[in-house]
Amino acid sequence: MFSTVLSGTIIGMECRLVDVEVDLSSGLPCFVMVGKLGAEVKESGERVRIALKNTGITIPPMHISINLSPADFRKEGTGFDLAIAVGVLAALGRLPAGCGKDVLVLGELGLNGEIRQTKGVLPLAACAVRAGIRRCLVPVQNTKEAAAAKEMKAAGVSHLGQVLEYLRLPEEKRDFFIPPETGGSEGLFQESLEKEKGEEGLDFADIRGQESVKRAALIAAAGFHHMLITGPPGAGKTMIARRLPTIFPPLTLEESLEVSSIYSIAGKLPGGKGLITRRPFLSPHHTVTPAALSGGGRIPGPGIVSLSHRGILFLDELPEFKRQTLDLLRQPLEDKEIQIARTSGCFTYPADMMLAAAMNPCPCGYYPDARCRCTPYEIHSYVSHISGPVLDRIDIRAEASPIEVSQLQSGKKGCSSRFMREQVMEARQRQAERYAGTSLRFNSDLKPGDMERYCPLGEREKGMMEKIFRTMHLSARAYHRVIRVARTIADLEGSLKVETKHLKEAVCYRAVEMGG
Amino acid sequence: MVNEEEKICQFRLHNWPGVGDKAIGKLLDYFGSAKEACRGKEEDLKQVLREKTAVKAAEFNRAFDGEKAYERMRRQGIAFFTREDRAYPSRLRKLNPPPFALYCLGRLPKDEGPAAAVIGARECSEYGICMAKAFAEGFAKAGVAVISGMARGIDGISQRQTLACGGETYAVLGSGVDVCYPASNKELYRRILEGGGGILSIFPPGTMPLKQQFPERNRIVAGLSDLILVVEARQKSGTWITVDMALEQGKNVYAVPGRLTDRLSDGCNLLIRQGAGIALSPEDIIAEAVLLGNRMQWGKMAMPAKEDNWTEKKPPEGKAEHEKEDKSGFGERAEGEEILRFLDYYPKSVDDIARAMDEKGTVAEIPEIFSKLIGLCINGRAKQISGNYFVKIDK
Repeated sequence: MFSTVLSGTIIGMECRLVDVEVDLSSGLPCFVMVGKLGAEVKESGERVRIALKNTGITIPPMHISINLSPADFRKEGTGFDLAIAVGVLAALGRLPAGCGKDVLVLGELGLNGEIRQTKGVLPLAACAVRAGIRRCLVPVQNTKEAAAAKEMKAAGVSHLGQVLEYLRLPEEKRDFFIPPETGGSEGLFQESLEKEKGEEGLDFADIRGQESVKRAALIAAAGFHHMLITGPPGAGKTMIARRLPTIFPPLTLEESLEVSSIYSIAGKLPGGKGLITRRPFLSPHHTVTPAALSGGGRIPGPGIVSLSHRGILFLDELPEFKRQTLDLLRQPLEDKEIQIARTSGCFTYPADMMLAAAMNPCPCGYYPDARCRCTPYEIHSYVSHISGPVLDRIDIRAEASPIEVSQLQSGKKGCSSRFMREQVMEARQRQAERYAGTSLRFNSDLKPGDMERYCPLGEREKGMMEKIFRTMHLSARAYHRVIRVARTIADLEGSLKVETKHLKEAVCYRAVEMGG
Repeated sequence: MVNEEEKICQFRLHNWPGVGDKAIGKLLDYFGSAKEACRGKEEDLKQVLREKTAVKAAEFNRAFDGEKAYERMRRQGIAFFTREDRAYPSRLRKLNPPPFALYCLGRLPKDEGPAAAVIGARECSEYGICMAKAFAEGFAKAGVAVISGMARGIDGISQRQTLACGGETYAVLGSGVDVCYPASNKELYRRILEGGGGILSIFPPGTMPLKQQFPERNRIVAGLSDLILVVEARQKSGTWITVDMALEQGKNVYAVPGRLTDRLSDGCNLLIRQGAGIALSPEDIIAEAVLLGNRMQWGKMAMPAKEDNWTEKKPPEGKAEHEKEDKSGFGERAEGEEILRFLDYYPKSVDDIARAMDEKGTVAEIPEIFSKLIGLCINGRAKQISGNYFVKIDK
């Protein structure tokens, strides 16, 4: 007997649907699996055999061959277990012929027949819908994400026995047996949003003092500029960075789908939750390896830069990171994606994140305060440890000053995240209008060539920039950075033109050669 | 005047390893002349020097081609003076003991002109930089030579400013005169040689800057000056060596006062408590320096008109410059003045300024303060130290 079941796998960010073909024939009893299989898929045979046995199904002593087609690319992951089991059952005649037609089957099996969560369900379901499939059978924990695909009816199952019963039913009765999860992405998105309401614990209002850093954070969020916060230990650098997501506009549906897909592939989508609706905020420890940051493995999975796509990547204690690790950020910062080349192919992951970094200004942490006891040489070598090309891409540098007790004790609250978020959204709206129909999205995307068009300077402004350039020894790169940031400041204020006061403020956020 | 041959032998002697000024003195006493000492056998040397030193010195002496080295040194433009030379600075002659030899690139300081040492910490604050510049400028304009060690920080800054104001300055190094230490002062080194003064050292050319050579260097700095001005020093600082040497030599020491809370001014404040002169304005000191150094030509020296306080003289000057700036059309003046009040010579953060303004009842938003501060920076009245720290500059 022969049967075929539809399943799928992920290579990099790409989804591939796979037909699981099972054939039973007489001959020496054995269980053979072919089709360029990775280690997890090879082991799958053992799991399936025992799971079937423990569900009360004895496999007759026959020659069982399984082929995963197309057979020309490597298959990884544990998601094939369920499809193989269903294929074997169908080939045995335990299931009516053709019952698995047009159903996407995904799931990992336990030895007791239990069905466990698997990775990449969200993008695979979406891919199946594009191929005309409207039904899927997935682990209960993955039902929500599978239903995020438009028009997909996702049935969640938790045991092999349940699957057996479900597939024996005629098509029209199945929905009564396991009511499918549907609703597409919009409904799910709303639902996830509802769930998350009231969970927002952090607020900029918690921060006393540091008004200048908060202002810099506001500008950075408004123009999607990368940001570096320096300051003595305990000044609240990390506190401020952690509150950055609270002033970003909420994720839109498309953004949420993109982010959720990446998390699904990485197997990091929280169980039972459909979509990710909160901006990612990742803060890897400084011992992070290059492979973990960029994505690694023979067939690389998404790394930290990709997991922070559309969100914030926060690097605390920047100089402690290995130079080699930081240098990896060059491509994502420039191209908003990361390419990982392995012998098995070249994989591209999205990585459009805002980089926020924090560091002490010198080894002791107090420069330029009088308490600092570091020599200029020490300060220089501390700072120069950071990869120059990465620093070059950071538009805004803010400096936190040491905090005083009186500030902590005063009941004065700073402005709240809600207020700041409104300002950010207004500024982003203005950018969206200005860059409509171009590849640009934010002011931080402006290249020197675009400046003349999108932020022309008047005579007065030009004169002043010339003067600033001369007296403050700006580099050409810093010059463009200043104009980019000034554009965002003008957007925050609702001004069409970049004026001298915007430029002057922007100059303050430029990189001052530390220790000089 | 000694003949050339004897001088070369003196140079040879000075190059012997492990043989200091004291030992040279003994050798000269024993042998009668440097030439004889150079010809001396190892056994003879052992009479004067310790055995190990004598063996080493004799070995070195055999291998060392003094004439060639001397010739090479002369070609580099390095002059070699010993106590017997007439050009040997008379100020050094008064030291106890005077250094046996002095190497010089460029000029020697004039015996008759006034000279003041401006010294201080290598790690200095913006305040220190500002004061060093102000005093150096005063000295340069009054024709007082500035002697210093060309180190990082106060030393280099005061010498640079002296040159910028057309004065002359002499650097006494702790290495050979052909070794520029620290390398970051290469530019200053070059400019001193281009006509501003001279590079001096008591160590043979090629000597590396070793820690133990610096106290001796400091003695020469003090010796070449009529008085010492300490701009900024910590409680424990190499500057103290120079000060002690100067006091031993009977020179007056002045210190620029600083805030009590400022660790970088601890040394200066301590000096003042111990009786050092309080340097309130360059004029105070110039008067004394000129008096001390310029016994020869009383009248000719341009004594600066007696101004009570140079700081009081500043504002109108600043204003004039400011009005000039104003014409360029940025309208910074009114804005700047109000915020300048909250700035200091010590780095102040924007948040501190905002708070101070708040306390004084002036309401100002952060962006506004930022843009005003940059306005001041453009006009050269303030400086951005890093991120959001600013200091006031007097100019």
